[in-house]
Amino acid sequence: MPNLVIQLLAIAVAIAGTWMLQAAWRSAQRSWPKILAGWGLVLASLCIWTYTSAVDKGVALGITAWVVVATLFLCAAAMKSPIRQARPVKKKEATVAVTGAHQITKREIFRHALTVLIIGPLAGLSAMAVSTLLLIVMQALKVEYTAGLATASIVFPLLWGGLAVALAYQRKLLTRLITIFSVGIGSLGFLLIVS
Amino acid sequence: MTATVKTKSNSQRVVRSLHAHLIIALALGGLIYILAITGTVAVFNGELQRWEQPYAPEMLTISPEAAAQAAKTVFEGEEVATTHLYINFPRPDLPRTIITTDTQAFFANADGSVGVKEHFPWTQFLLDLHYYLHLPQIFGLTVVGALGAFLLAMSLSGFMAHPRIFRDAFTFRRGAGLLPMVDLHNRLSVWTAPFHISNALTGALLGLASVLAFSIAAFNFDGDLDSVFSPVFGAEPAEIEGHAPLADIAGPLRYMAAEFPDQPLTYFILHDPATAGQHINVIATHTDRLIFGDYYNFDAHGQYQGNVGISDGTIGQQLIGSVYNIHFGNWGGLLVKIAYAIFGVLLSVIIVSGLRIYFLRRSQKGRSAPKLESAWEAVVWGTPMVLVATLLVAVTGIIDGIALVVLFWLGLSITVFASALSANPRAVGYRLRVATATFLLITVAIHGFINASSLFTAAAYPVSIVLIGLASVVLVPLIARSNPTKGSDELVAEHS
Repeated sequence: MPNLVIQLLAIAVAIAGTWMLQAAWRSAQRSWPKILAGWGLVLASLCIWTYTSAVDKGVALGITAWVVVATLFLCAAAMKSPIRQARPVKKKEATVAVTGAHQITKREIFRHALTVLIIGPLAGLSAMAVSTLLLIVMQALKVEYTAGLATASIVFPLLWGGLAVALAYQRKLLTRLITIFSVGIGSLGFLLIVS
Repeated sequence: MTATVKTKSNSQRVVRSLHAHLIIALALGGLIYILAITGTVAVFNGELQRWEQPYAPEMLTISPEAAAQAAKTVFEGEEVATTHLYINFPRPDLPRTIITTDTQAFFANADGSVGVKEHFPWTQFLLDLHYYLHLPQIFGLTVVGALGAFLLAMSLSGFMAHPRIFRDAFTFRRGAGLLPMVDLHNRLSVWTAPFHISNALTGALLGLASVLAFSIAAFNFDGDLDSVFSPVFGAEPAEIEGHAPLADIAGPLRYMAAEFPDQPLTYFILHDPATAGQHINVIATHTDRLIFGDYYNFDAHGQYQGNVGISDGTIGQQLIGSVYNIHFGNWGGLLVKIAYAIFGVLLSVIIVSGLRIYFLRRSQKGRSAPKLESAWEAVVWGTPMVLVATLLVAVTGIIDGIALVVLFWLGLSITVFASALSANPRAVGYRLRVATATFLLITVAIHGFINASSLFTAAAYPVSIVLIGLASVVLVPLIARSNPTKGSDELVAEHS
């Protein structure tokens, strides 16, 4: 079958899957058969794309096409939605915040600076230490080197992002400090022991 | 009772996730936005390079003999011996042959003669801004990589703050107030997640690779940095001093054409040319794969030594070899590039709408911050405006190189500072959009005037038409709008 026909088929299946998901999520009652069928069709579309080139590029093309399809569905949903009528809102008495109603204290500046330091460089260094440790552990487990390197390279930014969220999620500065030092010093300690 | 506890814990999770989302967005939203905008434009770096020099010789292919002749001529013209000699072969988005040394680059003609010097100051400025934020290289790469990690963090915290992610997936309220803005932000974030998560991850991976390599080298290879990536990209042979005749260039190219006819060549690299240790890599693409290509190695006599294995080696090699193309969208032709550009614009819209929600909420609570909001508006519209201003001066040829960098950062800083003083975000947005569109039109006009003889070539007119189209997209809504100077306070009152 020529590539164009396969691509059109894959797009049609993606459209059907997205339509099914839309129908399932919009109905008042949750319908698992519809949801599963929707996701199944989307998955089938990705599989069909793999017949147009190698698996890696096929899946990437499939995902790109599906995001375009989903965005078009979203545009259609937005176009169908009525424009909200303007209505007056009870607004609290307007004050311009920057005029100095709230004086920023030195303690607050210190807290903010420490938060930036924890979420930024400290979380980054901790994530780097954990990723390096992961590579060394994988090598010790006889995992092929480039597979370990690829894993460590992927884990590093994911872990940094995850740590940043986990740290910003904490309300107390002390909890943030304890979390970051346990991850950072823990992994660094292990690294020094195993290397 | 259990339901109440669950709801309370859910709402606490939402509040705290939103708090985390907000901390990162407020601290880094501006820089991430600059990367999103420059990344979107950089998808078309090949087309922009052509547009900057529309008169350069173009070809779909070049014979091995002609390429070798041009490379030899450039090499012999070098005043100081180069350590690398490159041939960039024509590709669909940049159908030109370019001979590059350590210090300069020239176009080659199809007959093997050497053409004009390569010069694309604005595209280079743009790429440097996206790769390094114009900071020193490894530090800049690391900062950009870190911003990728924080974009991942924002995606994660955004999803955590969204308990009805699937149920609301197609809900979209239109209008100009807070709820439509929330819908815009959330829906686009969810549906373009495969793009912005993969792009943030690959960007972070590229940016943080150097610093991770330092760490791995320190703990695993006694500080030997080369050992970290040599199992992926191949090891550099030991340097052998001593003079030798220049290696055979046409031979390996003929071999590739005969043995791998379905793999278009992208680069020829001659290491340590005219020394006893010279050796050759030819990079060939695999058009049905995501990888950037594979290295095919030859010795100085043109004897084939085998490929490195990016295409058929270990899974790690193939994964790492795919990262660059996934990030820059140059793996599927023009349609994929257009899709990447659309997704890039949508990512920018997500970032802008996120901060707009913050300012609208502040206004609703009676804590409006017009100076801060104006400064943010200046980042949003000042970034494209100053980018276009740098393009304008680059096209005129008045300045290039470091001067463009100074113009961009100084221009953006002044714009942000002056806008903050005005404390009128809507007026700031309006003026900067008018300026952006005006600069775009002037740039196209000047480019057309300077390159009149190449105006209707495939290298020039498509980009010029797109730039005029962009100017119209920016201008038309402004003309249709009645009162451009309304602040967010008024918008909240009207539409919430």
